[in-house]
Amino acid sequence: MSSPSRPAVPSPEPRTGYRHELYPYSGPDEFLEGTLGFIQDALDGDEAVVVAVPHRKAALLRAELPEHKAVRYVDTTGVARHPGRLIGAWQEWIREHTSQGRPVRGIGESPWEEARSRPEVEQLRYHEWLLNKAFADGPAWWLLCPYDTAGESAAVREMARCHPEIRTADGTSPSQDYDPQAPFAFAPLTHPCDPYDEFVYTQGDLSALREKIAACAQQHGLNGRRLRELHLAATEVASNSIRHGGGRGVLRTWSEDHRMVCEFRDAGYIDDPLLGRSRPDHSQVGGRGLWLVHQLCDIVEIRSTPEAGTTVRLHTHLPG
Amino acid sequence: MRAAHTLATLDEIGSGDHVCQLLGPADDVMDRSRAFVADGALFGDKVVIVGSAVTAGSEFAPMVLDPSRTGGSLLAAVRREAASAGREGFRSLRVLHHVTPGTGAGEPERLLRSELDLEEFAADSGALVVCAYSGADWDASTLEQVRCVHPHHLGSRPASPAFQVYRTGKDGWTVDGVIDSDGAAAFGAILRTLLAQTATVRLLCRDLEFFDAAGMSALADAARLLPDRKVVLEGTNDTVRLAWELSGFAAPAVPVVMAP
Repeated sequence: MSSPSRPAVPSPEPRTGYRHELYPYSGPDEFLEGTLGFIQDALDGDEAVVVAVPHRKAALLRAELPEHKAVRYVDTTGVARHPGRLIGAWQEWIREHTSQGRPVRGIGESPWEEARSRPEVEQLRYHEWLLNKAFADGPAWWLLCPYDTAGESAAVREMARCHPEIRTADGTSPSQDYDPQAPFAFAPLTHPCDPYDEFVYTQGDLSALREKIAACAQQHGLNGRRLRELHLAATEVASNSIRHGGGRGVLRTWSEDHRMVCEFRDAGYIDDPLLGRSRPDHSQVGGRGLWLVHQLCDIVEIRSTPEAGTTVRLHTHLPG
Repeated sequence: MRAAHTLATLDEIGSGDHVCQLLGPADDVMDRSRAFVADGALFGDKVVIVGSAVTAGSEFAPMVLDPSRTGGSLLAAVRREAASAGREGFRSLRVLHHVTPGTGAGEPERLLRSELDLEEFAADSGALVVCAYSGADWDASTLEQVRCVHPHHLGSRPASPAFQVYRTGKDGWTVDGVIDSDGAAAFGAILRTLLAQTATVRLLCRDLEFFDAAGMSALADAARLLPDRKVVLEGTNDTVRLAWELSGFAAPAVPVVMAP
């Protein structure tokens, strides 16, 4: 490993629990400075490091620091563009190392440059916010989130709201924008694109609901495995409406920006924002529906309040 | 190879078919029976009518099989009739079963066992079996359950249910469609019934679209209910296998094998 100049980060106080730091940087050199320094500190303390960054960033790091037993570069291909799958992935990556008894650090950067749509960007940011809740009671570990401020759509302030700490060249300090009690500041959902189709469903309508979705999917060339997966996800969401959302719901389908969108509205309320974010095991009773939805759809948007009920949007990238 | 389908009229049925015919309020049992007997005569088939809806004193007396006199085994009785049909010079056997609700504990399980027996009998013997249900006599969940174990459908609700389980070959059953939260309880009951008779149940799943979470839970629970049982699903698509893996059920504690 070479010795790049590193931000002068003071040795942190011994801490317990989960640490989640934002590292705003500009360009490859600053990326390397911050991340290599973080890794070196970990290695000095006999800690393991999981690196989950886009391929291009991983290549930069590998050139300086090849993978070895304490530094693992994980393949994020199947999860990086699917924000709903990321917490489950981190839980598995961290579990592998904590089970070996050594402290763990992580470096996680989402592919912000590749995120094409407003829902995808917002869900990636929401994932960062949820991480604080997902690991609040779990094993202690420390996650550094590099964030390129040179990107066209960089939004450091919004990112700072999702991270309790911010790392700079001068050290690590608490994020002034982070409020652990505040809800995530979702943007209002966009209006459905015209034309959209609408279908009211209730008990016994799951087959008909799938037929409605198939009709829309067919218009956009969505079929085979992708359509089956969308059908499965839609079945789970509609079943939740019927069982927990007042017995009925309203389906709307449309397409926008090369994505097919299925929206489900019902009168239920989801009070746990982490529902469906953790992998179930075989002995668990229930709780698999939303997990499957997140795993099978490209992007999942959920808005739920006791007053307005629940809206779930399933986004599926269209072929071509 | 047997395949599931819906029928517009009884004229479309053929050997080995096992038809669920739902009768509406306007359907006359005697008229239906008369038409069935006439079709049997037309094709040179032996006709047997099962059920108390057609009394022994009626015009159908020679062909009525009274369930109360079958010694408790309808299956054994129709097997005897199928065997004698060949000796008596008939082409085949056709059975019209007017199913009426029973009473007492375990009735839905008994009915399901009976229908699975008849499905196996029809597939293995080539006999034609029509099970007639008067919709008004049955609760919706029982009707939906028995509809799922008939590959052929006719009558006031001819559309196929979301999934069907029917006999394929000598040692397997085909499952097609979608097993979702609407059908999970019925699927679980069917599987428990099959597993009560056989240690390993083979399900051919080439036309199975997917299980949802409730369907997978029903599969896992049924497979785990009795000791030393196993369910083997063959011909599963990648969605079925992926969802099973994602749901955490692909574990040694769940005796289910999924194969492409």
